[in-house]
Amino acid sequence: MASARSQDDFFHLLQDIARQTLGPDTSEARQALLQQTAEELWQVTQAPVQAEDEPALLP
Amino acid sequence: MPAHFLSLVESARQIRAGTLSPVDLVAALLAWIDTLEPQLQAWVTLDRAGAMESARRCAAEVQRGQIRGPLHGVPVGIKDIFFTAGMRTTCGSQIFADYVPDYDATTVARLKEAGAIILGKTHTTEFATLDPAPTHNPWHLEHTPGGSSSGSGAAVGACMVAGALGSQTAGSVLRPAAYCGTVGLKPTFGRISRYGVFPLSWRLDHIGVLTRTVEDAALLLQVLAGHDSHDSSSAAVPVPDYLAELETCTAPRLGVMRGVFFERAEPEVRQRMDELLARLRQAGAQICDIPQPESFAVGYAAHRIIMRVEAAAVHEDLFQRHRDKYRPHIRSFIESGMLIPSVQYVRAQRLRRRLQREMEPHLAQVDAVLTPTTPAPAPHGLHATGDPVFQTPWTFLGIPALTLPCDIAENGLPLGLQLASAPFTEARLLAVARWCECTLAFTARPKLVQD
Repeated sequence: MASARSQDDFFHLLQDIARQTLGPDTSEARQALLQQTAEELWQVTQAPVQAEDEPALLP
Repeated sequence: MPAHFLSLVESARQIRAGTLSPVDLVAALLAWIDTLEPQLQAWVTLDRAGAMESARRCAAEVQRGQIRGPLHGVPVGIKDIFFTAGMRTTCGSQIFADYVPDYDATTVARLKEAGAIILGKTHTTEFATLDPAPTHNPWHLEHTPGGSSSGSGAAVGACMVAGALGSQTAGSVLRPAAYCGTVGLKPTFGRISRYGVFPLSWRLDHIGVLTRTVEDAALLLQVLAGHDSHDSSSAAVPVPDYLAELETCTAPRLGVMRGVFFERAEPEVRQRMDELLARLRQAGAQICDIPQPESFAVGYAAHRIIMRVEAAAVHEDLFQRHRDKYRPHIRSFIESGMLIPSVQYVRAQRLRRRLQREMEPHLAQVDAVLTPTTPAPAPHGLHATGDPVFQTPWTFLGIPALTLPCDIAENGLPLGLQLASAPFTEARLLAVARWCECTLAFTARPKLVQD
């Protein structure tokens, strides 16, 4: 089932983690990085997976 | 024919026959490198003395009738993230500027066992990511050679060496190969050992080769493939006789995947691909369309998540100690990897598995999937290394992929044809590529090399 978490939720989550992990930074570069990462997290969360889709090391 | 134009296979054949001395071959390549290197900057380290010493030893062995292996006396280049015992390995980073490993990567050891001479180390982008190497494209000096195997692409494209090692986590073998007009092969994940190669992403890193012919790619794969107990991801799958399989080449079944590969390609690339498909069809290839699987698009996001998280993990300690010595792209790459929640990281891996399942029936239907290798020829400028959008899916899936030069764009730069196939079907992939190579008969060389 797709997550109800929005792209904005991911952005704010990343902002919090970034503040604690990397330190405060309000630069455009940091914001753009967080936006892009939030979008990717959101895309991955929206995509369906099934029970047999277990992570595999080898193809 | 000048010695620097010889292929690996031909050089090895002439050395075995006693008609070419490894000493003369190394001397000819070093002289050729001296002519072009000031413009191209393909090499971080040239081991002139070591290469000449190895060449003299190989020459003496030939005279005694001793042949170490299929690459006896043949020089090769090594991307500068592969550890080489006694030879500097910088990883394109100032942190490793003076680092000299005390052991060889398994790949380097296997090349030496096969008789190859290590000519030197080729430039890489910083830690095989995005911050460019100083290397120029041999087809046009103001254009990028691609990356991250930038030096290997330029060196092979400019005939400084007939074969070189590269590595690919997104598109770092096939893209520089296509931009520099060479063959590039990235086999199945686990096919070639990664032991002794500085990692970027454990689940995505692949070792590959850059050559000027498909036959040479087959020869290098023959030497490099096989299980290695030092590498936990190494596959214990039997290694076929790739060179013998090349001879079985008949008109292949090719599946054309359009979707993103045609939507993102420049109009000129689309048009050239359609012309090329007509030529292959006329030569006997059976060509059908392959649909793009449902999860294909999200694969890009999943790939980036896995790559960044694992890069952050690989660099965790080093980054804490030397953050100021990392260049901007890799720094933000690692920093973003530190932020990604673990649930999404695992979900990205599950999406990889899902896409693998979705691709399986399509790959089973054909000998190879065919696409352009890049959306456009090598971009102008040396500030970036081009877009990996067309090479990334096959890396993400862990399946073998190969590029071969197929045409020249209007701006005089080469275009590549990309083939991908089911896991561990490199023998068939190489045979298909050989058939395409013969059919398309691409013989162009950079003007720099002709002059």
